[in-house]
Amino acid sequence: MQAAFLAFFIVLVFKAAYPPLSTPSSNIFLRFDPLAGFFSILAARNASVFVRYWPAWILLGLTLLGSRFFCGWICPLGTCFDAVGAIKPDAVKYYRPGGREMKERLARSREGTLPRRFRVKYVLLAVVLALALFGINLLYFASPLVVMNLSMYYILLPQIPVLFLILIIIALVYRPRFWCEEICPLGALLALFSMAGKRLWAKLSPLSIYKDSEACVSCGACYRDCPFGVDEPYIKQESGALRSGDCTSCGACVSACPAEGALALTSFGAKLCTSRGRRATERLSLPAPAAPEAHMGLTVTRREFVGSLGLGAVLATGYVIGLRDLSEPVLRMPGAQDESRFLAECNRCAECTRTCPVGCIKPMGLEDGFQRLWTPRLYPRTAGCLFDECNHACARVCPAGAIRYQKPEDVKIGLAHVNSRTCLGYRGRLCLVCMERCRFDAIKADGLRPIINTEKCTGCGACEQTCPTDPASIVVFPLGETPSWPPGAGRRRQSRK
Amino acid sequence: MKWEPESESFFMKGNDPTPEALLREVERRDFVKKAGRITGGLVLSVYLGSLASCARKVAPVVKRVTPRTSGAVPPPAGQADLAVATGPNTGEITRKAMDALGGTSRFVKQGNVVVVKANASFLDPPSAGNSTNPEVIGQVVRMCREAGASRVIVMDHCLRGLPDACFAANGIGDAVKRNGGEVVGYGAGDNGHGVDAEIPAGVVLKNTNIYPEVINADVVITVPKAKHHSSAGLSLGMKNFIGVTTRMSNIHNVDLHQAIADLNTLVRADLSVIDASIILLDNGPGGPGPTRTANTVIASPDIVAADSYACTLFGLTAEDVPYVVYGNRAGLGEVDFNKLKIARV
Repeated sequence: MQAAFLAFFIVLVFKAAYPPLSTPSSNIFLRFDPLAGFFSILAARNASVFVRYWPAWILLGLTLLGSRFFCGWICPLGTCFDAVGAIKPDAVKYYRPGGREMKERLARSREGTLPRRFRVKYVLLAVVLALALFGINLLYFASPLVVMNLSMYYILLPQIPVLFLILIIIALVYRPRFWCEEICPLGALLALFSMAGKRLWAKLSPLSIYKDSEACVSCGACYRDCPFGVDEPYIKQESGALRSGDCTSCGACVSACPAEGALALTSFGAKLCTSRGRRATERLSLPAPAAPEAHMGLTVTRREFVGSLGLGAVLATGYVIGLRDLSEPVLRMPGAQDESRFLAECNRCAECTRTCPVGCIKPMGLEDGFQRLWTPRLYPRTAGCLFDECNHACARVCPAGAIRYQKPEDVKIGLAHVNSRTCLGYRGRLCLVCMERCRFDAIKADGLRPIINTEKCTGCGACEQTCPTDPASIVVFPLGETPSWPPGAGRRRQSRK
Repeated sequence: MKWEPESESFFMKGNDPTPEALLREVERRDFVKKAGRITGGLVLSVYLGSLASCARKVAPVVKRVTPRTSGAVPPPAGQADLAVATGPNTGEITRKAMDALGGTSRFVKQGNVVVVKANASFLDPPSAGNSTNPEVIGQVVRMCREAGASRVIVMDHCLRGLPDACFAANGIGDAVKRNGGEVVGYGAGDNGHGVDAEIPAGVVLKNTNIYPEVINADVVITVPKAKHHSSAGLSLGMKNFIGVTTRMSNIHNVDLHQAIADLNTLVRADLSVIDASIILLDNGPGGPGPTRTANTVIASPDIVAADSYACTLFGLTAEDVPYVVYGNRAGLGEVDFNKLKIARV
């Protein structure tokens, strides 16, 4: 099941290649992300994306009724972590029976709280949401779907997906699902919703785990095998559905349970499968289960949540003040909003990068500041933009609406400028390669020199790509930027002041 | 299989597991796990291998190719060296011009691979005068197939758009497929497909990077559009081969005309069929610009003579288009077409 969703995700990744798929839309997985939906609404202050993110609201509704089932069954990054878990030796996989970790966890359970590390994700959720209010989009580490999509871009290049690799290495040495338990803000959001819902309509849950405490032998195998470290099937005293926010209804406890019929995976009250009781019952040396009090509710206090919102606000202020002027233009795709708005709207999912038929869009590195990390920009030297032929494919696949569709006749990406000191035509050579490339008739020959018609130039960059000099003597500059040679030199000088 | 809620066990419905069965189950699980690990390891190593091979690509793989030799044979008795056909039906005059040279069988032998270098760079219909007329290309492809060519590859490096779009817009792709040829369109991102080539006879152009099809072909035919060119003066049969190279830097950095002649010593076309049905008079090579309907097709195994004759259609001589003169100097052909036997049909 999980593998099927991963396969579907990967198929969609391939289908994001040009021409973009329409049904199912290749960005459908990304639009399943309610966190991205909230981000788009908060960061871009754009309510129209609400409709665009309809799958996310369906998921949120199902989560409200049920559990964090998305994390255990659907999430492609989670599946990768499970694959890591499959190759890890059992001894270091999850929770060593009787280990320090388990003991601490159970001790906390008796107090009705969770170990601190389980609360980090809620704090991170609050921080990234607060940052989103300030127009800062940190989705590329807050949402596993975006992380996965961006990583797939690098994997397919093939290049080393740094973030993905770091996560996998941590999963290898620490715990397979550490990200989902402790960091994932999307997981935190889903956990909050599932907790809120479980209190109300346990019977309506599309997927949940049911415990029959009559049959339970209190051995702790369920807790040992839970990838998310949920102790509830072990410590729950009365029969009924599990209500822990972190339970993803993945069923690991059901297959681990040695007691026949003690645990079951249920859907709308009907049992899908029950524990078989075929494994030998082996008592683990665990502290005796104790009845928890407040544990099933929110695992973060209101004060902590509000405090982290405040922390996010402080961080955001520092981020905006301490970093460079965001209004400086960067050469973006046609239909991209102005710079600060684009930075708020863009999720850095690399969907546009992959769909581009000529490969002129690439994620930026750190060269232009942290806030532009992994944002896609146009590199006309690699390839000129063919917006008129691909029918603006990048805008059609953008899940966040950061690239707005434009008719080819409205497109104005930038403006080409000629460096008269290096241009071959200005030095008396027979060249004019830029002119024969230009499909908008924007370059005229004045003798041997190319002259640019600023009205007709769309900034597609076909001329820059093909210029025979190195570096190019004809370069597309973003609108509003005065040309400087070499390109970007002026901007760097300005910023150093 | 059906999920049965409330049944005591879905997996082992109706029969209690014996210890042997349990053991078998465990063994199978171990096997699946082991297989999974091995498969994962294999996938990972393949991926790492592809990463490594990408790293190797950074260092250019130098594949040297040697210049072609022209396989054209002297004209059979009574046949012309240069054929000029005029008439309103472009396809028909193409066939007439080639027949006047002795037919394509003079150049194409049974089973040969023929490369036709067309002028298909632009997204305009034939009336714009910047791409070879599809009727000319279609006729050439058909005649090569009639002469027994095993493959006829029509190729160009497209300038103003994706290759598929260019070949569709100017009608060449359709004409080629109709007549039994194949299209190889390169675009802006395809420079990596080229192979390095040295030009021993080159005066200013000593090496270049060239698409391999044209080098590996048995027969190379240049089928250009005669048109104005803003830097070379006129774009004709010799100039057409700029479109099979990927390295522009050393062509435009030196004397372009000499570079074109040098390039032609490498490629050595066997036949030139110049389409002058509608000629572009200004703002070439892409236009848009004024056109003139000249209704002419020039064919010759002597690419210099064919270019030299084509200059006259623009009211120029070969002296105005230096690469033609340089081609003569390099021994590629005769610039004074009056010395040749001309057939006007």
